Amino acid sequence: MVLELDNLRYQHPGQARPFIHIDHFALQPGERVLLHGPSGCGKSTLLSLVTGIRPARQGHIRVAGKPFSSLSQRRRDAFRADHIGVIFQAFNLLPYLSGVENVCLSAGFSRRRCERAGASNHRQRRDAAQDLLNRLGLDAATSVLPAWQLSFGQQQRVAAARALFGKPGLIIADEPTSALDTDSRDTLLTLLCEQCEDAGSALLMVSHDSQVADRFHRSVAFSALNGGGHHAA
Amino acid sequence: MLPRIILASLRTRKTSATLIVVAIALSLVMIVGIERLRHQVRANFASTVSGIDLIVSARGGPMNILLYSVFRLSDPTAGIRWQTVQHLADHPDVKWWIPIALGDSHRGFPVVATNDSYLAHYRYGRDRALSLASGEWFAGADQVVLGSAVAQRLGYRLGDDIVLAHGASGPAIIEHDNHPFTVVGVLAATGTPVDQSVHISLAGMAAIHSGGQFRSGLPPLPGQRADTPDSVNAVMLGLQRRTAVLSLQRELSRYKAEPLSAIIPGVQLQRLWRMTAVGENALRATSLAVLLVALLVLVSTILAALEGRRHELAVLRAAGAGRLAVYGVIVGESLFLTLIGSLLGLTLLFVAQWALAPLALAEWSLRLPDSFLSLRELPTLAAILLAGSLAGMIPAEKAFRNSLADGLTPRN
Repeated sequence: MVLELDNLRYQHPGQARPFIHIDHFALQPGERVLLHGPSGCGKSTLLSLVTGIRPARQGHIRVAGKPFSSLSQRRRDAFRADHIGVIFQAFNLLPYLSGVENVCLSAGFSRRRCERAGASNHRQRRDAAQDLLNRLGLDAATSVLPAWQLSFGQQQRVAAARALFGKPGLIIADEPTSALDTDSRDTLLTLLCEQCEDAGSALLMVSHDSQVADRFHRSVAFSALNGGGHHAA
Repeated sequence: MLPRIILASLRTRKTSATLIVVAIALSLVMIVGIERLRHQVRANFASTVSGIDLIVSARGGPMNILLYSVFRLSDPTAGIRWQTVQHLADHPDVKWWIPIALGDSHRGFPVVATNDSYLAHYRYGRDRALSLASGEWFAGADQVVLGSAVAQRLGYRLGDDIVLAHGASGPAIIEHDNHPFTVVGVLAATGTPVDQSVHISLAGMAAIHSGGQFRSGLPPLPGQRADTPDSVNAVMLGLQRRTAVLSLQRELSRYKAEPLSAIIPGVQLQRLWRMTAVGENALRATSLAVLLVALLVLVSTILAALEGRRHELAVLRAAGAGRLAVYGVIVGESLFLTLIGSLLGLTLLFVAQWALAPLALAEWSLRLPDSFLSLRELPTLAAILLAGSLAGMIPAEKAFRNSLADGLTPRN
């Protein structure tokens, strides 16, 4: 299992009932799963827990077989760098760095991802990043522009390349297409799914839009998963 | 990678970054500048008395004796008789002696009546003797040798005639205009009060006060020797052995013929520095307060920018940045700004020293340091850089906590 959640509970400080309450959820290696539900229902909070940025105090999260949630914050951060790629809804990039440099951010925090990308030095990292950007449809001239000069669709493709760099076992995508028009959305999803397939990465994507479900192996409604006493905000 | 992120991110916030750098540079100029000036003034004073073992004068306050005899900063005490000077000159412990008679001035510059020993034995700095930049030392009673600053400020050349005035300074009330002196020499710059002095012979001083006209060749009045004055204000002594200083000091304080004070210049200087320490500390406290304000500006500017950088930090966190990397970005930024500010400050100081050096030497006989950074200042610089990094810890911790609270995506 690349991701396993057991008996996971999370509540915001001062709340009486758990906001997140998941008895069991698992993701096979290479599996693509769509998690859909209305906005504000706790999907983003769940992703913060799964990526280990927010500490889960109750329950278990295992990533690549490792008891992720019981690691120290420092080791969770290092583990995330090695094994998880993240794509946000927007503001994915450091605007003052070029596309290539943004992709190389992943390499900077994880030696394992550099090894898996076959890039041991700076030049090789840039080449690997450029290669990935090419496959996502960004040519070399576009990739060296500062990120703020790219179109929104291009920015999301750079974000996908960063998440995919070094073939992490798990890609987490938080509404990556919600700000795109239908055409761009379809292009990005096609490319993302292709590259996940190539890299052998599992994809957990959260979206309020269930129309894209046909590209995924499974589609899960968040409300069905979150079995605790949750009330939509 | 972190340096690249820090630099690229700062480039998007040029204005506030520049202001921080300037604030830090100015506070460094204050702290290091004041410290250098203090050190240099002390070194200059110490340099002025470096070769003198004892200064003998009529009984008076030791500090006053030091200040008037060497630094011309105070009024001279009453004179000591010429017989006493003679006694000192013949004393077996005394290697050399320099008589100093004061009381006249020329356009605000003090006149020092002395003899050839002054040129031969006076030492400043590290055992450096006086030398003439042009001309020669006075030989006659109507000749004058100028300190370098006097010659420069008043634009005198060899052969010019000048008139001395009675009284120490200010617009002269009585001018000895019947006794013009001829400039025969100009001393090389020393960075000591010698540069501000006008030197004449004891005979010259005797002549202008006796009413005799040495140029006309009239004989001196009865009971008055033309070549020596009745009295001098002080005598600087160099001893055969420095170890004899204390015993000779004791001996002279019990001198029967007239009450004398003998002071050790180095000891008095130490006393002087203890007296001025309060003022120096106040200055230091002020410059530290300025640094503190600059660091607060640094902290508050970085803190204020954090709000707008939440996405930036979320991206870094998602890419795997832990506490160390977040600290690296924020503390690295404040350290970088402090470093650039410090370098700018040192450069400003260096340029100021270079630009003001001629003026300081001419106006105050103060040699300014010519160093960019001295070993002695390294701890200060290290402390400023450390303070800059520590200041960065505050926003860094806040940034890290923000990222935990924001989770994966910050709210807009």
